[in-house]
Amino acid sequence: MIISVRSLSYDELKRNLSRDDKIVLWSCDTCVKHCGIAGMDKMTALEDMLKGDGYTVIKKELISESCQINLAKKHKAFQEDLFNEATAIITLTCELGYQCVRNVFPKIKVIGTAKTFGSGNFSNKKGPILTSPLPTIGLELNPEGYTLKNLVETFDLQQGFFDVDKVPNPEKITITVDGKPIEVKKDANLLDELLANRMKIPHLCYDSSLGAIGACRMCLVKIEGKRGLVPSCCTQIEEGMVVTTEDEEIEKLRKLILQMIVAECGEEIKQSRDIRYWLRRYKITENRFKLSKQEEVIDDSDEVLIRDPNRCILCGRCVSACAKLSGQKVINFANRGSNTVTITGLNDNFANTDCAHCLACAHYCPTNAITPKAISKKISGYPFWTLITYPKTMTRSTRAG
Amino acid sequence: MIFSKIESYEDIVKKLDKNEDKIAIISCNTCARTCGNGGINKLNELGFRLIREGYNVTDEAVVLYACSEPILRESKLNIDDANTIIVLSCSAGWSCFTRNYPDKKVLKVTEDIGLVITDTDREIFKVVMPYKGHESELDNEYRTNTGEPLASKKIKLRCVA
Repeated sequence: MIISVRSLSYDELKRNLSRDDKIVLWSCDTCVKHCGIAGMDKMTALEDMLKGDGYTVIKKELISESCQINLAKKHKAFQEDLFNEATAIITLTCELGYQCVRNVFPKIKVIGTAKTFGSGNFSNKKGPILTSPLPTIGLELNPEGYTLKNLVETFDLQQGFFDVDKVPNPEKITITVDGKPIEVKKDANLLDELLANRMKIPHLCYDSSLGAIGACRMCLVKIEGKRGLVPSCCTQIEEGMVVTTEDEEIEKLRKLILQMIVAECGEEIKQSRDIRYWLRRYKITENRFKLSKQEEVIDDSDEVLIRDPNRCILCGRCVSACAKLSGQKVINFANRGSNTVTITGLNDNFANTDCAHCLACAHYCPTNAITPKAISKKISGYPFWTLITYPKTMTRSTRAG
Repeated sequence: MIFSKIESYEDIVKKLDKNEDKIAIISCNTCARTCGNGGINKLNELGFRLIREGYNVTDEAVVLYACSEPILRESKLNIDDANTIIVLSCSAGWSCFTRNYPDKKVLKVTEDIGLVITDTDREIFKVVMPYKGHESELDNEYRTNTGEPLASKKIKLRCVA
């Protein structure tokens, strides 16, 4: 992974902006995220800071790998009008990502926020460490690595993300959830705020980096005054909202959805951490539905990714990640209703598509239907490749690359 | 992305002992694969040749990232039979294995050339931040997956560290 440290203070950043700038925040979702200075949550914090100081932020753009210049071009092409309106782009990327953005948007002021030191590792004990510094840094190759703290102190740079204490307190309102009043951010996403308040709301298709999809229906809640059950991931908070997250009807529906997922995908789906957790939580041991899906062929044609359609629950995260984060739109839905499936390319093998191997789909898949390929073989005993599948025990933030 | 070049086969075997070394070859499937020095193809190429020439190769594996300890832990590599590891990755991957397998000889068989930007649609990558001794590589472009040098420049940008 590439090691970068924040090079600008918040005041220096503001000096590069003018009050009437229309700002786009642009963040990479790979190496710099592991260095703690990028990602959707960091963009949201910076947006709050800038808006609190009277600046206009018109868009937050998350890209799976900002050092892939073709992906940056696609992000621009899909939102040409918005980028035409922008006058400044703040990049939460390494210097490579910054160069790509500057190249793709030559007429817009691009402000880089990080200094890149070279390549390194993600260490279990120390976090990101620099092992192979670039020549201008003046440090030697060191397998033990230089920590980010070492680098910040040696080069007089900025520790961590922008002054977190300067993030203005967002306007809070009170809503009632399951009979108790809770304080939440005004106009925020209901599911985000419920989760932030440590409530256990099942959700399989929602991730704050990808936005609402509303496919799995597991996060359904009741809201007083609204007809039927509503997906909390697609609901914006309003003053005085009265929300019910758990009752007999909701629990029955969630159990039904889980049983249908297991019936459609087979017992193997229980290996998925999220599914297993909710099956245990709702004490589902038997299934009223019979297995209805035919075994489908696993696509291991690609050098990097493996796709197992049998494990797909049609949550749409991979489709969303491929379209929004990568911009390649390699993964899509095909057919309709109960015949809906996810496909790659024009229903082709992964290897025959123009996949950029940014791994966004694999990182966001909740059921390991798409996983990075990792294989091993013993030359003497059993000289055939064995697949090592990565259990989803880790979040994207702990995967380095 | 990090661009590294693999040493010649002759230079690699100079570091090996045919009688003593039990070799595990680990190949990175991200940057090194993109730059033509990792992934399954390079692993097979080196593995077959070493086995054919009588070296004791015990294990082969392709891992997603060689530079990540969490990924290394997840992949649960069973390379206890080996006493020597050849890592087909950049020097960051080599550092990671050096730290995590202190009782084994971890061979460094690649050299870092620089940090690169890629254009996966056109299958090219460009050196924009070169490493020490490779300053002349600045701006050079290569074909992804093979590392074959390209004569003409297709990505128009320049970056100096």
